[in-house]
Amino acid sequence: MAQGAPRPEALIKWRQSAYQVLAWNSGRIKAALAGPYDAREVQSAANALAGVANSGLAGLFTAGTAAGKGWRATTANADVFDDAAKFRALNEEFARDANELARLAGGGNRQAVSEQFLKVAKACKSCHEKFRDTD
Amino acid sequence: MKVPPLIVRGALAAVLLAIGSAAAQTPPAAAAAAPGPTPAERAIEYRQAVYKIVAGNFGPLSQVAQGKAEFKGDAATKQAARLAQIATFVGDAYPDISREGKTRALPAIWTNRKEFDQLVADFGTHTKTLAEVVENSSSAGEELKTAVAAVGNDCKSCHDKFRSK
Repeated sequence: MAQGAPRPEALIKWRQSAYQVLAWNSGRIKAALAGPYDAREVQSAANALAGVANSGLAGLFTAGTAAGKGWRATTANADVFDDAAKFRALNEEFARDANELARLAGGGNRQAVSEQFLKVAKACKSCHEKFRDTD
Repeated sequence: MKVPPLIVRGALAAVLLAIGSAAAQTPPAAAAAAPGPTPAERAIEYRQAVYKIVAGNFGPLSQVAQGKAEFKGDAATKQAARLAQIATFVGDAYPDISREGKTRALPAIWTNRKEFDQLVADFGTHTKTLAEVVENSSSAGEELKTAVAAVGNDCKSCHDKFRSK
C-alpha cells in the first residue's frame, strides 16, 4: 500500500459511514411516504441521498480493503473487487436514480416521489444482492 | 376486492393467537429489549457516520491548505462539494432521542439550540464558499487557505462549546 494512503480500517469506516447515511435518509423518505408527507423533510433526505450517491462510493473499495473492520467487519464480498466494472455500473445507476429522486422531491408530487423511491430502493437491493454478504 | 369474511376472521384469529402466545412466553422486560440497537443508539451511530464523512473530506483539504499535501483540483473539488452538501444536513443529526447515550455531544446542544443552529448555519455558509473557491482554484492560494481556515474555525468553535473533551 502506498505511503500516506489511508489505512484500510479508515477506508472501511468511511464507506460504512457513507452507507449508514444512505440507510438513514432512505428511512426518512420511507417514513414520510408511509405517514404524513412532509415535502421539506423528503427534500432534505433526498438531497442527502443524492449527495452521498454522487460522492464516488466505488472509490472507497480500494485494493486491500476486501477484508477488515471499520465500525464493524466489512460485508463487502469479493465480487466488489473481482467485478469492479459491474460494481461501478450499479453505483452509477444508483446515483442517477437518486438524482432524479432529489429533483422530483423538489416538485412535491408525492406519487412521483413514491415511484422514484421504489426505483432507488431497487438499485440498493440489486447491488446488495450481488455485492454484499448478508449474515 | 372482496374477501370472504371467514378468511378475514381466520387471519385475525391467527394474528391474535400469535400475539397472545408471544406475550405468554415472553416476559414484558424481555419483549422491550428488542435485538439490535435502540433508536437512540441508531441515531447516535448515524451522527457519528456523518461526522466521519465530514472529517474524511475536510482532512485532505486542511492538509493542502497547510502545505502538507499537494493541491489536486479534481479530488479537492469533490471533497469540498461533499462537505458543502453534508453541511446542509448535519443539523438534522441531533434529534431529541439522541441526547443520551455513548456520545460526546453535550446537553447544551439541546438546551441552547439556537446558538448551536447558528454554528451549524455558519458551517454551511463557509463550506459553500470553500466549494466555490476550490472549484475556481488551480493551486493552494491565499483565498483557498482563508476559506479552509473559516471552515476549520467553525469546526473548532462548535467542538469547544458543544463537544465534551
